[in-house]
Amino acid sequence: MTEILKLFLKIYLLILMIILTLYAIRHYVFSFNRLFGKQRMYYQDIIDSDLPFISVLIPMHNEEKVLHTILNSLINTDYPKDKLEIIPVNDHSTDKTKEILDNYASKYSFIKPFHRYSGDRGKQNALNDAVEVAKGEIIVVYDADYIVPKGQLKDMIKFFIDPEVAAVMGRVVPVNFESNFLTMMLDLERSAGYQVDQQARYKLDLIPQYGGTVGAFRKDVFINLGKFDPKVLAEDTELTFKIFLNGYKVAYANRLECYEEAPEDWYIRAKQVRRWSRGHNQVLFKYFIPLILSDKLRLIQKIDGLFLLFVYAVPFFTLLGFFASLILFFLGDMTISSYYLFLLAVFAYNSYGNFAPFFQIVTAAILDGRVYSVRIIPLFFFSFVFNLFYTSLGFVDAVIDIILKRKPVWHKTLRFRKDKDVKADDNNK
Amino acid sequence: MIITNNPFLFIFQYIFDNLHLALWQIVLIFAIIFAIPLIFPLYELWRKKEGKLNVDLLYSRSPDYWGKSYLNLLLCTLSNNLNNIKSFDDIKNIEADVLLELNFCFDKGKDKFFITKDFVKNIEKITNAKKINFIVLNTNNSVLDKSFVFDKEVIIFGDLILNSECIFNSLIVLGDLYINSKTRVLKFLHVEGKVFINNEINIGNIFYASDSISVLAPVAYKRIFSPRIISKEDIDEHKYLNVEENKRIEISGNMKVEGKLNIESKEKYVIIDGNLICNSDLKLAGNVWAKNNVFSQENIFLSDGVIVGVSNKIKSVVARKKVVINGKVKIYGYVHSEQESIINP
Amino acid sequence: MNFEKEFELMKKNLMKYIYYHRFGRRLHINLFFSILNFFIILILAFFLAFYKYDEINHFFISFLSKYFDEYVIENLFINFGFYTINLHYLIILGRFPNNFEILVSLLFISILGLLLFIYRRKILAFFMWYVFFSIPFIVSVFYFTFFKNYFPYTVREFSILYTLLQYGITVFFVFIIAVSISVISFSFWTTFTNIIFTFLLIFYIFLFGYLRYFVFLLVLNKMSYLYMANLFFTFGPSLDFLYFTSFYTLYISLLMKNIMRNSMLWKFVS
Repeated sequence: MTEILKLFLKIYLLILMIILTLYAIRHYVFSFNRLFGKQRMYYQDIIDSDLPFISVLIPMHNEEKVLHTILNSLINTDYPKDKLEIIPVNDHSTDKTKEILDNYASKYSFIKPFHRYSGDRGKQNALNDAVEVAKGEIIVVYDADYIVPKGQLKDMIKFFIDPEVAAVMGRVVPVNFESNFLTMMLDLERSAGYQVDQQARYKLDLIPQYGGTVGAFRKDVFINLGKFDPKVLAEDTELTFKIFLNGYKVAYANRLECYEEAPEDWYIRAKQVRRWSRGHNQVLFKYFIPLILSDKLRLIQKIDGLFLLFVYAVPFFTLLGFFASLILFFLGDMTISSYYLFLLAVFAYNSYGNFAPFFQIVTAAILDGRVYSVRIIPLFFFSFVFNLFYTSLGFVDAVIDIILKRKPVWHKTLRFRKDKDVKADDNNK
Repeated sequence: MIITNNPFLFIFQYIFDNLHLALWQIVLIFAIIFAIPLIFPLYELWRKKEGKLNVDLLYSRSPDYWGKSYLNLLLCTLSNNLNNIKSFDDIKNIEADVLLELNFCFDKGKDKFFITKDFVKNIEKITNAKKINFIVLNTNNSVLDKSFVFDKEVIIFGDLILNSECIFNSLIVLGDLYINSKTRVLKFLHVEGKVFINNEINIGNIFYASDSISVLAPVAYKRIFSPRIISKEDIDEHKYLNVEENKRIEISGNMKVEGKLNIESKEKYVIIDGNLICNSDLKLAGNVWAKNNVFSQENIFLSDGVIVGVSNKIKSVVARKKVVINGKVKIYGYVHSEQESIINP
Repeated sequence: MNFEKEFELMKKNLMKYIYYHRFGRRLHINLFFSILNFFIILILAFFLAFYKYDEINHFFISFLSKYFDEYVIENLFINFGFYTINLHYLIILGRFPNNFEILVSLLFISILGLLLFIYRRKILAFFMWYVFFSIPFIVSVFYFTFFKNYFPYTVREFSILYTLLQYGITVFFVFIIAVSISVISFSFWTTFTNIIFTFLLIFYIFLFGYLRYFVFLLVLNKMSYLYMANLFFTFGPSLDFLYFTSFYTLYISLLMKNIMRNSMLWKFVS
């Protein structure tokens, strides 16, 4: 019996090691490609006097602290106001969000708040409802804590001259880098994720991800694809796979940089990671088989799609691997478990902890010219177990969702906006 | 005693032989070398030398960005340093032909400005050198019939006629520009009027003309913007509409091609309504009118009668490598390439 | 004045001051130096792994053995087919924990856990590391309370495994460094500094690896087997990655000052 258990655990660890190594190789390929490969030209360089009518949707739930910044930055945008409507989607707010939005609406005719106090709360539900009232052929989505640069909307919509592009995604840059260790870490993590990962995936014609904010999508395609699934928390990832499985593409635009507010508290970050993981894994369960069977994707896209789908599931299996190696250790079979440990450590830096190997973060830092911040990368070590644990919890949540067919409740990320961060907004006025 | 002839181990050998380390000392050494790698990241975490990544919130794409922002800086510099200067009109009225040293608004460094009504006539009072290493403000129309190398920016507050070979760092003309001699511009050429190119010109980066550009001699460039860019001679797009139905081919909707795209037409008139997007070389030749944007991940070749865009609108021709224009071509708007391109009328 | 030459000169000069926007910039790869660098480091790794590792290993083991009253040095042969290397490892006396020690350790870890749990909101990431540390420890406590006699290891197995793991880490790190660093090689100078850096890193790997081995042996000798699981699971190879990334990023950071200043190394989009 013990021997069978040992054999089973060894096979499990072996398979896991291979998967972890494949992830590491994938990230090295991305990094080299981004660092030295020819990049794709962006559509943003096109100057076109014909602009479509667009609707900017900003889902909000109790955002009185931050909504001024995003609305002011959108008011200052150079997009012609006769071709623009801004729809702040007030989703069951209980603070002063409603009053502030109505005040804005009375001053600016292109701001048309959409108050939503019935139905289920949640970003995906709010957007589904708001799209119904939006008049724009292109729907642009920003989260409420973002600060939009003046020319960004114009640059963003140019990607839709490509008939294949159904959604476009920009780059997210944390505004509160200096706040603490967590925000510094998230900043470097974001850099690696966007500057290298997303950009390489776009360049290699794989599966760049629509990230749900600093992004836009075609309204007609969105409605034809059945809008967001209200049961899925990661509405962005879901839309990405829907788009690719239906023969469209997501374009990633590295130039469309936008400030966001990164969580400053580990506890809130934990909730965020858990929610992302839960949502992402819901997408995994929903699209795993359709992805494999799809006739719209090339083999390489399917492989990348699988890697992408499993990103938030692998930590759970890694954690199981940790326990498996612990069992093997006490059963007297240290060899395989020690090799697993070694690979776990490789993975800690290579693939997980931040979804990017240290080399990928270094690549992003070189490209972004972050001469000094790059030195804090070793400290990612301390977030490794944290991420492993909370991502695994998210995976478990998603499994329970499937079994019990329960409806997930959206928990909003708390805001930390202080006056100093808003200075950028004041400059904009 | 341990003996090694390995140079790599020499230092250890030395330590072990000379310092008779106690057990606790070795543990201490381990603790220290364990701590060393943590020092750098923790120090960086503490001092936070770099701030957040700077995202320019005022950034807005515009082809006249270089010229406009330079003019704004110039106005700022002059109004900070000289009394009675509030607008460009005030600059035009400055009488002096003097060399002033002023604090430049951009980098707070000192820069020399030569403000004159007639540069060619008055430069001899200042220098006989061919290389001019100060900013030139010509407050009136100007005819350059001597060769110069301008190491700094030149701003002409009227029309400019170039009759002699010159090199400009950057040239801003607030009237029309006539290029009758071989000219080279290093950074940008900004013209608030019409441009007539009758001799070779090489523009390092951006060429902007707010009215029109008429090209009769080769132009090397990277980006060109003008509401009307005419190479060789004007083409009347009305003939596309007036021609018999069976001589006209209309392609509507956006078109995306993975491989090369080649549209050539001598007999028939082709009207392409939507955007043209190509992942490889894109060639349009003959009677082809692309009413919308033309985009390629490689090169774009336009020749012999091609029209891009529609009158009174701005459309773009964008390529990752070159945009090569040969013969009669008309473009309403913007041409963008990442490598040095050429217009050969 | 030759205008053609003058203009080319001005262009070249201007290029020094042009910094491309980060969205599309990329580095100019110098294939010659990158390949040269890669192979030099690989040859270095090969030479180290097959011809020098045993010598260094013997040196450290014989040095460390002096600190134990009773020890045996044994041979461990790694056979690669074409070459066999002979490594040494130490066998010393290990200790089994008594019930009192187990109880005290358990109490200590519980109180620490309780304290961290109270303040977990502020230090959640570190609290998670505590959990990561305490799981093997608690399993160990459980094991030594009920199945002490079944504990499958002695210092001998521990040493063999550590030696093998350390050998693997050394070779693997040199390979990783060859992949990660040789691409950032633009001149003879950077190639040279890259190789110096690799040397220093290898130097550190040995020093750290054998001193850690020594400390581990001390723990098993003076304290007890109770901590063996943690030696592997918490203070094992994951620590090696901590110093590896620390030195790597520090070096890259120093190198980057030059990379950022040298605009000739950069390209834009195409």
